[in-house]
Amino acid sequence: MAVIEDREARGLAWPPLIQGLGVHLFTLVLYLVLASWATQFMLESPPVPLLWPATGIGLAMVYRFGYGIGFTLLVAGTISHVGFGAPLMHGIVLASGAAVGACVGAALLRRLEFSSRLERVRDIVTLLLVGAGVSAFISGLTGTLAMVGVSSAFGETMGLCWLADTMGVVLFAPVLLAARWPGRFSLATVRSALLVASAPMLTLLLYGGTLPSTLSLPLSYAVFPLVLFLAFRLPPAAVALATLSSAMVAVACTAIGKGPFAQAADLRPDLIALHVQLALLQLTALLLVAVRHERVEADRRARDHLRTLARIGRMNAVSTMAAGIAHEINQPLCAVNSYANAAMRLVQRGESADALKQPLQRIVDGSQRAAEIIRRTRHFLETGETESRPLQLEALVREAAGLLRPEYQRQRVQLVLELDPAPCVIRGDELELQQVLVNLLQNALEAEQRAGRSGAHRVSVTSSVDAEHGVVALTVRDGGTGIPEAALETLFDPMVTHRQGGNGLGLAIARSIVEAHGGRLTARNHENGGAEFRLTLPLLTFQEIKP
Amino acid sequence: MQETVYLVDDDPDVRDAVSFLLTTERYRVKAFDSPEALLDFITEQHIGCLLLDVRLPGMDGLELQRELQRRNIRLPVLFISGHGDIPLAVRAINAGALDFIEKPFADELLLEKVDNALELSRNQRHEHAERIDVERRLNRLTPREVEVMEGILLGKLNKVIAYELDVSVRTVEVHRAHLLEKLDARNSSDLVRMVLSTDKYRNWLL
Repeated sequence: MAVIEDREARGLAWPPLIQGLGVHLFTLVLYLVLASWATQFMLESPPVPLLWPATGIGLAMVYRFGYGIGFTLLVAGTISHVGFGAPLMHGIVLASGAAVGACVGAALLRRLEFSSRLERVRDIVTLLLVGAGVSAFISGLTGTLAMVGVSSAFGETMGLCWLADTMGVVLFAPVLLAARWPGRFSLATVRSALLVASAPMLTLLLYGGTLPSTLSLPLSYAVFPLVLFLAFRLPPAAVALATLSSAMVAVACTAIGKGPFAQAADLRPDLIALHVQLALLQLTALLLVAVRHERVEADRRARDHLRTLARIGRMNAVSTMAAGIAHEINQPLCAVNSYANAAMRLVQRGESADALKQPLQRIVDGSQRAAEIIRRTRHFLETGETESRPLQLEALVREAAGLLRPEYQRQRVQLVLELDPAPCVIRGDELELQQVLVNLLQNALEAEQRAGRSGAHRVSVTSSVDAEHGVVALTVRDGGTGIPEAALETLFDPMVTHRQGGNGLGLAIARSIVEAHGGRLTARNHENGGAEFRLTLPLLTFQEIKP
Repeated sequence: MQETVYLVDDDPDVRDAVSFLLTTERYRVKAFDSPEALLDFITEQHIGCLLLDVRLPGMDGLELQRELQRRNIRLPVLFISGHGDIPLAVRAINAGALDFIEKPFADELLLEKVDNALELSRNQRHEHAERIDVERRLNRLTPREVEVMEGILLGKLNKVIAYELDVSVRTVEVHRAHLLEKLDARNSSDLVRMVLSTDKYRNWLL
């Protein structure tokens, strides 16, 4: 029944080019490019970059593509350190520190059931703790020991190294972890790309030096609302890309002495202040996306539960109708059988072909009638995903009444439909709404049964369209003894049943379905006897029907 | 009045189909969609048999059966029962229905049962006619002859009857000969069977 798909495995697909050896090559190039970019922001003393992407890239790539990437990190790290003037041994130690930090961090993430989709708050928190607390710590510690050893400068150097690595994790890891290759490109992809690009553009505007510093510092917060807006529109990877590119622009501008944070002669305090702002921006954005996703996911799950419950409710409904359905199929079968026998007798007697016309036509009619009953029942039990679409209320009511009519006939209860002739189109899930109607009609029939001979043997379904307020009301009234006062309050509560053999779910499910459709379901006792269930649903306007 | 199958079924398809089948076999069929329609139509004079669906709107087969009995309509009743109605059909049999047949049925079975019902109906009519005839003849007996006949019904010997009526045995023998002649009986046991079949004497021995 349920199609189980491994979302995580499928999500890992990258463009074929980057698979296999390509992943190593990609990591190598990315590492070298970003490392050479980062070395532009070297401090004089100690010679530490203020932002070091290696740990972030390493953590993300090892987590996604396995520990083999660790080797590539080692090679890339050595190349870049030696390339910027470090001795070979020194470079190897620094590079291995970053590689080990990435591998240990990735191993931890795997054990902590971290999901790289970053759609849960706990994933963001886990990434921050593991990235800053483990990967950046190991990498920073190795770097500090290699550069200054245990000396008086250890504390300051360690702090700066750790900060640089942590910034690398916070800024670079999320986008590399969460990025998925889009299956196909569409207008939506272009729109998303433009939205993502808006963040670095705004940052460039603010940090480009065109604004006076008195204005640009307070305005540096203007990127927050933009990123928050993106967090409501885009998936985690896109939001992370937007903040990353915005951060890279900000850092680059500040380093060359432009923008709100470039005020002192020394780069260090400016960039640290900027780092704090950027880290907070990134975290805010990621947490917001995650919270949004959790909300959507919770809604989806609630909807799934309702759908499953609704399906169980339909099965229940059909099982109580089974005898009636069997009878209803047996009738046309009986007719078909008699006509076929009669036709055979006519043939044996050598009657003309003309004489066979009538019985044959009736056989066709009878088999169609039986097929229609089976179609109706099967349709009601369909399990496939149904969608919300415009529906004619009248057709819904007639279909539900058609399902119940045999049962009503068996119990000799009259089912009267008095439907408002005014056009009445609603939006909803056909099967679920039909189920609500079936449930109400079954309850009404049971009320008549309980009332026995004192019942009115008549259930009426009335609809009235209130075009002015845009609602339609449908009432189902039985001629039973009514609902006991005490039961009225708990009537719609789940697991509370007021009849024998009931599971107390029917009305609870019905109300949930109606409310999911933006309507209401209420019950009362009619002044002239019997219970009355009232269902209201919002009408679709003409424009909504024909967009 | 012609022999007819009176069919009651609320399902138009089934009603038409069964009517068609029976008509094909040259039975006269009159179909009704409700018990009320049948009751409005049928009288004691109608002959044939009834073919009733067990479940009918407004009144079930058993209730209809009782109502017909109350109206002294004694046509043989065949019930058609649908899925799951067997217990109801069995109760109908116990209440005096002739037979029941389950839907969907084989045509031979239906035709055979209808045949049986019509034959039973004919036999009943024949017996009824005979009974009426016997009653008519009983009315022609003299009081003395009735006394002698009742003695015979009780299995008394001629001399016992003669002693009780205070007449000679010879006289009783003459009365007995008259009785056989008037009632058109072949012998005494034929006479007893004939007289006991009448409404008046049916429960006389009990």
